Amino acid sequence: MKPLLSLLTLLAFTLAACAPPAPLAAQLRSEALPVEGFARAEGIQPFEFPRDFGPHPEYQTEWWYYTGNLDTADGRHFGYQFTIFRRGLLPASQTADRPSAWAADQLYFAHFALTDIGGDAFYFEERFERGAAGLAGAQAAPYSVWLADWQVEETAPGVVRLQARGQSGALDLTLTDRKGPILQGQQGYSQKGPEPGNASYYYSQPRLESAGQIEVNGESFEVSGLSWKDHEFSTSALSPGQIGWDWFSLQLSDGTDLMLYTMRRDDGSIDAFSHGTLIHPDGRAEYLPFDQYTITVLDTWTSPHSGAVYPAAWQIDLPAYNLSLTLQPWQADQELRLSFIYWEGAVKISGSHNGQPLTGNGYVELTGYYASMEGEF
Amino acid sequence: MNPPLFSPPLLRLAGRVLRHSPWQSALMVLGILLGVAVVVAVDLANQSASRAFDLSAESVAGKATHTLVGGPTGLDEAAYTELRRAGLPYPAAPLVSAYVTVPELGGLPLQLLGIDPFSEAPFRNYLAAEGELPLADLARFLTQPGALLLAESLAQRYGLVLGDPLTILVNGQSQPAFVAGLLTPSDDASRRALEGLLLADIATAQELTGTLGRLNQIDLILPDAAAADALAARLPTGLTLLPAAARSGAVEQMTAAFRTNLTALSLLALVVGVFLIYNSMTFSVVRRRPLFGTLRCLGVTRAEVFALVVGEAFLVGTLGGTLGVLAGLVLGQAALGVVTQTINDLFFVVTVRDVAVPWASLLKGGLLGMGATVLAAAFPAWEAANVPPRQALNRAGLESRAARLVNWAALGGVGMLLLGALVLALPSRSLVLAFSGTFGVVIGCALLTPLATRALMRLAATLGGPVIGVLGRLAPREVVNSLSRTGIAVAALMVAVSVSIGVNLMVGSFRYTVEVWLEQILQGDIYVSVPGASLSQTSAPLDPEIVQTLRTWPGVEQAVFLRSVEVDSPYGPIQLAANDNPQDGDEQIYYSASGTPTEVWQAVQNGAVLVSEPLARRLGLPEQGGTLTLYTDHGPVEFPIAGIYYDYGSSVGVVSLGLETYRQHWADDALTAAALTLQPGEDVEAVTRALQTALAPQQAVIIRPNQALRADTLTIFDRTFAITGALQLLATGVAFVGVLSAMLSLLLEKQRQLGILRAVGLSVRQMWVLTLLETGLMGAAAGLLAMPTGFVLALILVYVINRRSFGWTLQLQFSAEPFVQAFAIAVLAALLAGLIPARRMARRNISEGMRFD
Amino acid sequence: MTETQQTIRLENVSKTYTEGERQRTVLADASAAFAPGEFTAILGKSGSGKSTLLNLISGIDAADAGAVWFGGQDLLALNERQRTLFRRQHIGFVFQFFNLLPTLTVLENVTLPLELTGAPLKTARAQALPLLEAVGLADRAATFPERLSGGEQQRVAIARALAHNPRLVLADEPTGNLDSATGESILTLLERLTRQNGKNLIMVTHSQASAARADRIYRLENGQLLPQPK
Repeated sequence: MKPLLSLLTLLAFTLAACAPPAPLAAQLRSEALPVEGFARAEGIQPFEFPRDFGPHPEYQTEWWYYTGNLDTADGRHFGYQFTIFRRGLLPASQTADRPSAWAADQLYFAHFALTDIGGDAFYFEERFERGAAGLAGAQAAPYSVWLADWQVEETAPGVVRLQARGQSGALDLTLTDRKGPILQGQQGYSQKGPEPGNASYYYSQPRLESAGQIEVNGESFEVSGLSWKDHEFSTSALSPGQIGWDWFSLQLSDGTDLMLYTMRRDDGSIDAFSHGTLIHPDGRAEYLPFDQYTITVLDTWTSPHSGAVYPAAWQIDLPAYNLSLTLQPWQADQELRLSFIYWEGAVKISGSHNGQPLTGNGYVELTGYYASMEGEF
Repeated sequence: MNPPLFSPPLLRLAGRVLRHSPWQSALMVLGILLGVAVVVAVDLANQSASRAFDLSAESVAGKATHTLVGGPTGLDEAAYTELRRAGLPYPAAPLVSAYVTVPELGGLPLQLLGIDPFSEAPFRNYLAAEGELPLADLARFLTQPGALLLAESLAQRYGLVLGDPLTILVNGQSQPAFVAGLLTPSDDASRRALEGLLLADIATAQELTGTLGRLNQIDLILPDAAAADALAARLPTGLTLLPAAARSGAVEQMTAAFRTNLTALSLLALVVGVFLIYNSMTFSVVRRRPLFGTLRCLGVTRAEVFALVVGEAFLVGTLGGTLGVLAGLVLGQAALGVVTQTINDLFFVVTVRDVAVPWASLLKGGLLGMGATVLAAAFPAWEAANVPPRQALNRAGLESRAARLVNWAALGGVGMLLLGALVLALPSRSLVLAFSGTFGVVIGCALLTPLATRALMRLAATLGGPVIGVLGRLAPREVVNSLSRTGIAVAALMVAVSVSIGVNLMVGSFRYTVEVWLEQILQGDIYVSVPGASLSQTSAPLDPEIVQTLRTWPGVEQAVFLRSVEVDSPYGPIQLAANDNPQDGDEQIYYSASGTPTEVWQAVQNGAVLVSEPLARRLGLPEQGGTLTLYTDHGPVEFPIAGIYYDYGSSVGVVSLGLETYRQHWADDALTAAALTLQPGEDVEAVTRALQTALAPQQAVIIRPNQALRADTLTIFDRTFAITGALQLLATGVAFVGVLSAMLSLLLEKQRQLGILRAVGLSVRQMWVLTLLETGLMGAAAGLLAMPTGFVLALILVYVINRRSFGWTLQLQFSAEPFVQAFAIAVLAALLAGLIPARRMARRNISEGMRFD
Repeated sequence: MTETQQTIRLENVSKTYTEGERQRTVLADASAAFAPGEFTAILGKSGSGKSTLLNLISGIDAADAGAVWFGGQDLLALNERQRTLFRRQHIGFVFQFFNLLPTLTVLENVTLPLELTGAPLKTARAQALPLLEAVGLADRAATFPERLSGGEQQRVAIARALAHNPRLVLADEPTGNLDSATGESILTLLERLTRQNGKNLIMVTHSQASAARADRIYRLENGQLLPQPK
């Protein structure tokens, strides 16, 4: 035993001696900066476009969220998610007047995911940049939001070009807005909890006709389909006890679009502040309070990566509109494991509206299944 | 019937012998201890400095494969944004770096590293484990002006906690900052690297160092050469893509010669130590000849006697080696300070806060000491093994053999001298060869010493007899009669003292050369410059307002400006000195030139450059018609070389060019220093004081009259050679121990004889005289013989070692002082060494002395 | 047969030294036999070659010609190392100048030959102590030799010579450095102890009186060993 032990020790020593110099590594200890003074969503405010396409740095958190379902001419299906997040590090009232162009009080990060049904694959990645020195930012007119070379840029009124190149895939799409911005909640004021200010300002562009190229592992495809954009900004929207949300953006074959979400509480119940919007083919929007719809989970999927258990099929009923839908994920594994772990995936829809059968595609976002989102947003 | 070589009774005997003559044993241990300590200390200091450099180079370079650099003022920050927005598919990270001093952190130079935390992860992970950024913790770092991160250990050393204010001194400006975060390194290497760093957000670093809009470099991780070529092809002009390793390698190469020199000097201490061991062991063997005879009678084999003596040496070597390693650790701390200071003065900023303890280095030192001891004891041990049993050979017989040996040694010495000279004459730039040759010469001289000592003693007897009487005759004869021992002691002392002469002559010549050179080049009356974090960092620009003030200051006849910057080249970073001095052509001393000074200056005005001698040697440039490629703002440019000039300001080398030329190739109108010539009759001191008062509110600049600058330069010069002096002193210390040990043994052996002398009527005083006369004669012999050896050594140091190490041509300046000093040291050391044994002798009573044996 | 095996014999031993230019013949065809347990004295003038004879018998030196038989073993057939090991085993020495090791205690001096032959320290002590007792110095066992008088030192040397139970004890002028009374007592002790233990004792001396105690006396003259009647 002894000689073996000493031999192993010697071996370890030799290995340590031969190992290349390790990169510098350390742990940072600092104190979080107390953040107060960001504006909060405390009531209905008039929206104005194009001004509100741009950033709202007086609020701490903001995102521009693109999802879409695309097909090649021969039916190969793709889903994509492209989100740029903005996080204010300091409210404008506290920022110092600093001469360096790099001085940043805004942090931008982006998530980019591709679902390749034909290739049975799911790619996702995350990037960070400071909102300074031109590295990342957003502007209203002409509308543009970017993080390094990931960008959405207005090319004509109502038309944007979305470009992103990641490690295993790329996207270059032209998105044409068919319905215009739709204000969510009450005139764009989307209350998430009982406390005043636990709310966000939120509008969507639910029907963006999309066409362009998608590239997966070096292979390029001509695709077309529909995208959905959300733009939301707030300061700490979640209330205590709210651990996450299930969010649905559904585009139906009869021209109807539907946004629904349920806010889940830590006791397993659904928060009464959950709501939705039904957008008719002509762009008319109707507010859907919590009691107007039911969402039944039909199946679950356990992530082999994180162990989180996610809903994986749904029955959605809007009795008042005689609308009944069944949702199936295009593929089960669409879990993003980045700064936070969540499921965001393309879903396939079948159902009926006023007795007429219909189909559709959509995106579902499931948060708080791996760890509570409380305090994160 | 084959007993082990080390049988227990013999081992016991070896231990007993050492215990029984504690003085001799202690001195042997001390000799090895000193030798090993010096070697270990220098090795530790060298390794620590080199490691610190590697670490800081690595902490800056990280995992970068390539670096994108711009001109002397860095590159435009927009270049980075453009790269990122164009979708560069490889990791890239911008960097702003500067050397700063922070009074709150001990005032040592620290590297301020401005980083972008969002692009850092692939390169350097100070901040968190890979892929995880503690965003909440970073908020303060990003948004608060002056926010700095530093190693927790560094903060603790200076009693700093989160939020404490710091003062950043950079380029003569003082900027407020504070401790925004503490970094706990995850391993020892990271800790050492972090201790020399201050981390800031890139915006903060730009603001603190006043480099708004500029980046020092952009680091890249490129997968292959093809990617590098493709990227290089699409770069805008003015940006240069360099392999990362080449850059730091070129810089570190510069200190290699310096470190080799130190190692050679430290080995010298060990060589003197080996002399000592050889000396002591020979003594102890000779003294114990009857004992070995008895042992052989009793049936102890030759091999066992050999093993016995080697065993003693082994014990001494082990003890001395171990203690030497410990002493070396302590000494290393001191040596490190000096080595680091010199590297900072001459080469680049390196911050080393503690000695890295590479076990290999300690082991090496310990084994070296042990091995040297055993090796030194081998010959005496062989001697002992050949003592015939029962043959109570008297010393006369031994000495007659020693006399023959003296001739053989002298012959060997001549051989070694020739061999050494041959090695030195080889046309090579190798320092190792140069030092090998030098050692050959020194050892050759040492081998000649016994023969020369004999001749000198005979002379002394002839001369001393009539003057001092019988003691004057007796003392030199005693030295000759014990030549087997005294010869070695004299040789050891001679070596140590000759090194002192050689090094002193070399340093003196060097200093003289520098003085002459300063006289020639310092033509201005007043010099104005900006304090850098260290002397090797001199590119901090003068405030433009100050430049204007200087130009128009009343009483100033002429203001000459210098821009000193580092630019990149295919050979690594190169120091440029661009000036607008119309007399510069005349003020240089040329090593080789393309024409008359006027013609040279004409060429320089037309865009040619001048290259300093060390740089020309380092790059192997031809004496005539060479060219030098530098990366300018518009790509690589090949400059014709108009001449090579002597320059002792930098061992790294400088390229001198006209300010006009510089500004044509680099978009940089900053100025680094000014030399003012006053109108005749102006009071230099008064103008200096007036300028100091006037400029103080604008920028902390150093304004020095000519003499002060000259004095400051010489101070740095002296500081550079401080460690040389210390090492040389230590070698003399070892030699002193050698002489002491030799005298102790000699007198111990002569107790009987002295007893007889005392019985015959030698007074105690006369015995003192006799003893001190003997040791004094030995010292004098060593001192005299050291003179030619030291002179030869000086020649080698000046014309071979220095030129190969640093590329400097020195004028050999002969002065009597080092010789006189060395002679005095030798005699004094020898006399001092005689005191203790003489005292012991004087205290013994006669009968005790006689009864011995 | 047994007798022959135990007998120490010199057969036609010759030894010549070169001293500078001159050749000096110390032994020329010398022969002698020493019976077991016998005390032999060898008389001779200074420089007659007494020490050389001892060197040859002990194997310190090798003869130029002839043979030195220890029973059936010819010493001259052995090499230097073998002779050393033989000496270590079979011969004890008593010198004129005592030649004790100054760095070893009295007891350690006595145990040294035993330990050299590989005996453990304990055994060596057990054998050495009675010997020290016999020479009357048991109480000085832990003393260093320099603290002893000349006579005492020589007594220690006798104990050392017998410690490893050698066949032969060689004594080289053992009383030469002592006053006559002390010398007398030393000689008595040496004789008693060698006889008690049945050892061969060969003593070289120039003193007729000392030689008179021996069983047999040789005179060394002109390189020859001449038996001399008592």
